[in-house]
Amino acid sequence: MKTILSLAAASLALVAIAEPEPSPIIGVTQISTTNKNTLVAVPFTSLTNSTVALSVKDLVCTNGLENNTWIYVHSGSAYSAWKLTDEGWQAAISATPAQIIEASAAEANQTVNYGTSFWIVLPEAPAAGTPKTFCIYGNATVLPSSPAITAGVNFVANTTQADASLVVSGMVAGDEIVIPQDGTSLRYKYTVPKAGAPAGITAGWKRNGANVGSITIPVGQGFWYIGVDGTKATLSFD
Amino acid sequence: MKKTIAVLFALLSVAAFAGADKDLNISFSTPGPDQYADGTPVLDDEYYALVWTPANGGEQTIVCAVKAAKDGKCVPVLFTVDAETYKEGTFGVYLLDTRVFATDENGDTKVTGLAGKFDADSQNVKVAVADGIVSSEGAIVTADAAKGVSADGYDLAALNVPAPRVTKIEVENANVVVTVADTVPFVAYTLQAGSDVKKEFSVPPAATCANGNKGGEIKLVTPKEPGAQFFKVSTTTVK
Repeated sequence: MKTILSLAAASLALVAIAEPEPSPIIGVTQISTTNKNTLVAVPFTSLTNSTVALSVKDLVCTNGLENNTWIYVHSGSAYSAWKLTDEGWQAAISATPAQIIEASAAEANQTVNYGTSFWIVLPEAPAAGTPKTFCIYGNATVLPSSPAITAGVNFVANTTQADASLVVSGMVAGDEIVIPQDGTSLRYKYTVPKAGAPAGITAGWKRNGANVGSITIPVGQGFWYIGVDGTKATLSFD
Repeated sequence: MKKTIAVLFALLSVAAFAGADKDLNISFSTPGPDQYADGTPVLDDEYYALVWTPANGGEQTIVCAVKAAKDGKCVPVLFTVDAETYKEGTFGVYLLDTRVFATDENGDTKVTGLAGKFDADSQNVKVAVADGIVSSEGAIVTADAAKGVSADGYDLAALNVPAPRVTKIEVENANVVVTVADTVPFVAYTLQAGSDVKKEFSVPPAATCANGNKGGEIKLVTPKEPGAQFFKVSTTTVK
């Protein structure tokens, strides 16, 4: 029996292979610290939406960190905290470590913006000669400008993903840069150079009253910019 | 660029012979197991199609298609076409891929079949399993099975294959493990790495490559380097 299955014809154009677009670029930064308290940079945006800030608990890999490690994120006088448990990062509230300033309230779902920084507090300081290593990650496709500096304490970050020299413009006398480390924070203060003083990217910045050649911010390092009233400082990295 | 994908059919019997009423009868079957281009077994009720290629360089057309896959192979099928309509050209037999991936709550893959009259939008890809079958009126013609298939006919752009999306990154021991969503089975996914977001990326020597899966989510692994690394997930058609 002859069975006619179909005589209909439809066009089927053959075209060249076209591969899908690649994914957005993501970044992974390994941070080593010998400190109990480390101010960590935020050089990324959210994996799920590159145009928005990300929840800090989605930024820090838990691998390599022990339970009872804490994250603290400050925003003005408010802060939020997460504690690492067997279930991962859990929103929590804790007494504020002495190194953390201006903390007076807690928020459970606070996000962190590109160019800012936050604290990681280890259960105990790493043993001498054996730095603690952990990773942060996120979307690195978009490289927005760093947040504007305002009067008061600004939590800012090295956003270059490499050791880099800090370049500051718009600073005013009395502005300070603090790279916090346990017990030995590096503190720089700006004094307007005298007329005729040699120009340079760090001209006027002094540490312990002495001129400095450059201010190097390690990869993944967060730091404070403490601006005085009227500061118009902007930060970049060389 | 022609890419050999896989040997789909070790044996494919194709016979074309002309009937007394000028109809052309083409029969074929496969011994199986038959596979899609991604190497997975063909699902029951998948379609095989007879495709006409005019000798004058005109458009290829699907002459007819039939739901002929059963137990991983093509059951014996007889196509009858008008020999007067299809002159000066060749026929080919194609395995169509009409799967829809992970559309139900269980994440299962289903064969959807063809919408309307062989609607190209309802296909993922088609794979030639025999080509160059000449319609020779009045004579019995046989053709050997193709020993490979060509990816030249794949049109991933038209299929709306989504860009891969990274949903999670983990660092496990000395490796970075990247979870990738929105994958499809007939595409291979590779991590490319770079030390500077603005410079060229390349595939690390020890990085893994993986095909997409029906659930849409895969994991790619590459060694962790000190300091900062940047990654993106790129795709290639499964070879």
